[in-house]
Amino acid sequence: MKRRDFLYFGGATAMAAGFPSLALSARAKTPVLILIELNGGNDSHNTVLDREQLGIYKMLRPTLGLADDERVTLDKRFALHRSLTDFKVPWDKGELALVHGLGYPHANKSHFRSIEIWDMASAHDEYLSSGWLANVLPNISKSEINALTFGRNALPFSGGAASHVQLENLSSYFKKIQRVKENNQASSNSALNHLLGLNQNIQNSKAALMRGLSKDIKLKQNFPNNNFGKQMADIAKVIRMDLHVPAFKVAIGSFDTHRGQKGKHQQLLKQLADGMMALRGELIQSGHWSNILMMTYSEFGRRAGQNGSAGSDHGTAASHFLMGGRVRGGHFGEYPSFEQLENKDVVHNVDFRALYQSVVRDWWQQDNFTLASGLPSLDLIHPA
Amino acid sequence: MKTPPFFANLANALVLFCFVFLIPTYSWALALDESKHLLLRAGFGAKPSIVQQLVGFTKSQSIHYLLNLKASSESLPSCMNEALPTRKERKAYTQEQRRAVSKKRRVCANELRAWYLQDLINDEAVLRNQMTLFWHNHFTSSLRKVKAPQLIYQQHRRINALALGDFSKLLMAMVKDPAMLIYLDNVNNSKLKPNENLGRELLELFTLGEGNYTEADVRSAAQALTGLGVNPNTYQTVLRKKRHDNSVKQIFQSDKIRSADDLVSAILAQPQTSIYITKAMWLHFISEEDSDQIKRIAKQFAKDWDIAKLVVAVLNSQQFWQDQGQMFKSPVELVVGSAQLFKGLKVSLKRLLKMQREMGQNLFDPPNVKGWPKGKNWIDANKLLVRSQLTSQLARAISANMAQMGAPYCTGNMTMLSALEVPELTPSENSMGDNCQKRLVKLVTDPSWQLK
Repeated sequence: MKRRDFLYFGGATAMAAGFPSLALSARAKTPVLILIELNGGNDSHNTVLDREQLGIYKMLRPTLGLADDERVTLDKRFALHRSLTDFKVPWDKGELALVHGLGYPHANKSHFRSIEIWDMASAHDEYLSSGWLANVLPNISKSEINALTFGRNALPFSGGAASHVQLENLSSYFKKIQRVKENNQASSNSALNHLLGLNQNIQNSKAALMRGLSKDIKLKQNFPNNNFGKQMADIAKVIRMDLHVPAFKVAIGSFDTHRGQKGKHQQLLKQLADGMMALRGELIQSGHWSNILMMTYSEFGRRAGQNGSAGSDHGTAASHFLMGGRVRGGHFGEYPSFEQLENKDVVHNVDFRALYQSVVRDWWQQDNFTLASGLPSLDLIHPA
Repeated sequence: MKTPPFFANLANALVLFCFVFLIPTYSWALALDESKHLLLRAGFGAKPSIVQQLVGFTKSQSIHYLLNLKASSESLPSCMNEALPTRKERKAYTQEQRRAVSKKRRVCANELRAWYLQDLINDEAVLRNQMTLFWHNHFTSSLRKVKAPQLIYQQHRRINALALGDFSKLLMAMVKDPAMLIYLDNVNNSKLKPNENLGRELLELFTLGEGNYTEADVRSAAQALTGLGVNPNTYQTVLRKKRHDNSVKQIFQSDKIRSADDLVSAILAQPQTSIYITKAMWLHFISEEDSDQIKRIAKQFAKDWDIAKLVVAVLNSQQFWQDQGQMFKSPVELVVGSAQLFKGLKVSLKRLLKMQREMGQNLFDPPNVKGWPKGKNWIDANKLLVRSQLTSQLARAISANMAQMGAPYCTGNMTMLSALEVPELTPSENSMGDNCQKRLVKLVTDPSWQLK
């Protein structure tokens, strides 16, 4: 097992708060990154459509492919799934970037291994012990808590110096932490230490949220009444508390549409768009928008051709979205060609680690942040 | 050492002399904390009744004693006996009927979960139950996707019957299990339109492990499984000849297969299968991996696929006995263990199930095909909070009912209850009132209560 990091506190740590804050004074607004995991492997060929390849697309997906009335034109070349119609608003304002062909060499088609590769930002055959944001977050702000994960999978923040907690929703979490007491035990038992570390993180989040909740934030926007929408509402609330938490993560799914894909996919993309647009609206009104960056990702895209059960099987490269007040709108990377398939799959042309590295460097001014050598930089962010 | 327990005393008496010279040290009678360790891992906690039984047994004898405990069973919820609707009946449903049917199914699913939890709490056969849960977490299927609780129950019966039996039979039974065929979309896998879901997970999660097969193997496996589906009226497994691709497929470079049976044989012939299963079993009982030991045990396992022998080999390893308190209890272990130790805990099954779900382990409903979390992934901040809610509730119940729940442990040895040392009372806590009650409260609310 390889370790990129030499700082490993096993799930803790109270020390995070003591790290020097390199970039930002307490007064400045902290740039916030919101990771949105499209859990299960989103079918990006039916999310973003390259109309220059429409002929072959229809051959590969005679019934699964998006018909004229199931898509909406974005620009001369590209169309989006109809559920994403509202994305035209940030697109027209230059606040939406589409990064095409994201993936990595030797794509792995296991849900579990591939999401780990994305979350650890590792090569396909590299096993790392900490998430791609686990050690950089403590440098970003002085907040007691470095990241909040709503729902499943906190891997991007895990295994390093970041103090982070995972919760379902704010109100039930806050109710539960009321009674939690400090526990200053120390132990040589690593399992027990893991629990004590978690307890410390809970204490940290409690301190921050106590301050935040006293501000009694009332949201102005209507958020959709589904799980993703509610969690996006909670994220907007925490951002408006100005606790300077630099990172959030939320998941929506399951996008693992092997069977009967159309209805399910349409519904999920609608929830995704509604949730993201509500958060955008809320944070424009509150004046936070220029410091917000939302980014979607997923363990893989799907096979180019449809399968036998009106669905799609595990694939490789995919397009993803970045939306935010300082995003450089437009297209990045090349949409993969349906004519040059490898084992029936499209071929990636942007290493996802190049995207990650550019985001950390440009969004948080961490110029030395490096995930692998030789990664190109994508110019995705307008300077503050 | 495979002495059946009823010979134990006889053997001890007659050949004590031989024992001294022939038996390696690890087979001497179990110390109390060793018996506690065994019961925390191979059962759900050190139930006083079983601890009594193990006195004087060697490690090996204790393991066999647990393996041979007889299962009892709670009576099934009556909805399990209701026939599932035929295709014709389903087609004729009105909107309203459909809603009523799915509501009934939800109620029935909850009754099934409650039945299972009650069974786990009451049943003496703790090691068999551990293994049944292990296989549920290995050959996953979920009520959410399969929908019919009857099919999930039938799968549960198959798993329970073979939980300590022949792995090759268990594997075959699971590949052909109706709930599994629905769960992993094989009902939609046909010659003209292959669906890879079952084929892929069979190789990735059930037998070989990620990285030990190629994409071509996945396609061949999926083709071999084509046509294997579920009859829409009887809900029995069927092979639809017309949808089955009976051509010769190549798998694992040089093996030739046609059918699901061929596929399972080819998988079992791969040495990696025994290694993968042995490793999963090892990590179920021991916190740290030891690949040399795993390989050694796997070699034996591949000879007869005897799961009971595999369990014995893992539990007999030195690493197992040196691993005390280094693992996290699963939510089910936490709930079942607490309920077994503190009889008279009056929390409804419904509430216990809800808490189990919030802690991340909804019975018969793992979150995805990989199953429930393992190791330290069981616990994040939010789940730790639910665990503390549960233990606070337990502490209140003990305080309110010391006579029945707490008293038995006031005179006996409290260290038998928890994996680690009982935390000492602080001087101020020690000064007044019922110390036994306070110590028990401290014990179950301490983080160490989460460990095994």
